[in-house]
Amino acid sequence: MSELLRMDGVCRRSNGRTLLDGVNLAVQAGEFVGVVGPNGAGKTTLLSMMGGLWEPSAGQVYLDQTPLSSFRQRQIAQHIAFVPQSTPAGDFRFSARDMVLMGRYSHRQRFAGETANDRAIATIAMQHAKVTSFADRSVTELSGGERQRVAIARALAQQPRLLLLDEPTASLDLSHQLHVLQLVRQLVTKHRLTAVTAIHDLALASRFCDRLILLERGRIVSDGLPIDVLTPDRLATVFGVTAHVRPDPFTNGLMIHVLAPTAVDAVTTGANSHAID
Amino acid sequence: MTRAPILYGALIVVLFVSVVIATALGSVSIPLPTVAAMLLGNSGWSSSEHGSHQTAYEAIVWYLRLPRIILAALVGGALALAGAVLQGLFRNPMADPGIIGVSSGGALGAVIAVMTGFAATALWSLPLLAFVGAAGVTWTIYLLSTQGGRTPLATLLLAGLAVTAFVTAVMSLLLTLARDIFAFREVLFWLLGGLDGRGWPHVALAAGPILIGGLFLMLFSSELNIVAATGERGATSLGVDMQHTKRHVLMLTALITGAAVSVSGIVGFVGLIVPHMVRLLVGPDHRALLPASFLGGASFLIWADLVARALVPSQDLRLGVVTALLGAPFFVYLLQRHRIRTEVL
Repeated sequence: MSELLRMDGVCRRSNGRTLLDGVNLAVQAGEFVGVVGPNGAGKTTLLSMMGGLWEPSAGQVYLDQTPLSSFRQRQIAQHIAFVPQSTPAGDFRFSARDMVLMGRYSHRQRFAGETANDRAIATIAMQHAKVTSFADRSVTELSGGERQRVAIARALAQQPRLLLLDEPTASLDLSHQLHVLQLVRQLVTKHRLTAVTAIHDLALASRFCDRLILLERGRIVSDGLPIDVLTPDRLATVFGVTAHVRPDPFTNGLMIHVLAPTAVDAVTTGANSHAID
Repeated sequence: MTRAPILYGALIVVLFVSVVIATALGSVSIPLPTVAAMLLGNSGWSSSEHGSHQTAYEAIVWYLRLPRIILAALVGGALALAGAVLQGLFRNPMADPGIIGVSSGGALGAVIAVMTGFAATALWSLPLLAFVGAAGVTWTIYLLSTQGGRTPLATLLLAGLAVTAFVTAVMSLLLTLARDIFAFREVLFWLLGGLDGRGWPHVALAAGPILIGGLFLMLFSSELNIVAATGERGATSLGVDMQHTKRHVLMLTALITGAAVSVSGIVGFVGLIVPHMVRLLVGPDHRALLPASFLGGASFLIWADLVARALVPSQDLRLGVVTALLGAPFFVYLLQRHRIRTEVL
């Protein structure tokens, strides 16, 4: 396996708050990595830094061993696609197809229009993300989940090597949650895509991802196979819950039975008093 | 995009018909076929049936009406194009050229020109100071909202509000200090906008910046589509160099609206409503929206100016008053009829 993206001592401070604090990690080509952690742990920040949307306050992000900051935004977008957590409808009545075609921007000649090739790629992306049935409707009329799938189709139309997803399942119903994660899994396995997703649902994360990164307050607490990362101890100290964890015989993931919030005295002595706010 | 050629054709026809009708109407009415023939360069119009009118018609058309109508078209086109661009850039349907300080800056420049007597030195001196004011205030707003090489659009919008309020207050202060009642009246007239007394020299001043700036702005259509659809962060992740886009789009917008404001004074409402009307026709794609807004704004202001000069004989209605009196009710009608959606408030 070859290294696609690496972060060396990456920090991000904003308005006096430290959002990321000395993150070191490497993402190998052909991996599906899940980023988990409680609210405010820095998952969105981490993904934004991977996508070059924010500059590190300290440290460096490398794409193919080259600092991300030495690429133009257009060049980054040819390699890395980002699916944001929420996609507001906005006021502009672009069709879903128009939105997906925007994914081709970084591959187009400056000032040139879309080619037949761009349209063909967008059509395939829309089929993958199950957008085709409402391709010609205005995004202002779509539901939040439908807009989310449009955003995923647009990211696929970028034909990235690295796909970053920020809580892709948050606004989707159960069947579309499974569909999206299966789609990414399939693209990773069959087409050597590399994907990193922030995800709240630990059972889904353990089922679909090759590897999990557990974040707490801007730091990596644990990085490894799902079964090694999601231990009852860490669920207690990081998420503030008492839970049983065991392999799920039906899905190859983990079954996580959350029993109760961790007792208050355990939390105050632990690292994570904000988890029960 | 398939309907685009038909729509452009229709808009160009509307513009030409507007020019012909506006040239024909006024305190002296000229027969429409005569006007059309003159404008198309057909010398046959001067046949014997007009006889003695020929010289008078020629003077009225070429020296009074046509330059004013062309100027109305340029100013209306520039304001509507700028409004369409800014609404897309800020993803805000309420944006118009006023929010980047062009109107208030132009007004301040005009007030200074009038009160210092500089305006009386040459035909171009008031337009020049107005343009400098418009561009200067936009530049100030841009600098104030830029930190560490980044200019967040929300900051830009708020800085624009603050600086505009400040500049307007300075202008009001200068006005209240003015002792010269004629200067006061001249400034007031300028603030209400108008094209009376404008001729070919004004066309020559404004045409270059508006046409060239407008063409360059249209090169940013793809970027504006992506920003309007996905926001600043979304556009960045799709590969748009947002800082480059913002800087160029803002400066070009300031150039064309500054040029417009410098020759017409402040004409409100065109930049706000024309893009909305045009969007109902051509949709949100800026590649079609920007040229169509220019053509639509040009026709709109020709008609507004016709009303301003011809509706009440011997009364000088101000153009800015007419655009608001006509535009506001029509805009409300569109809101009711088409339920133009907005999630701003």
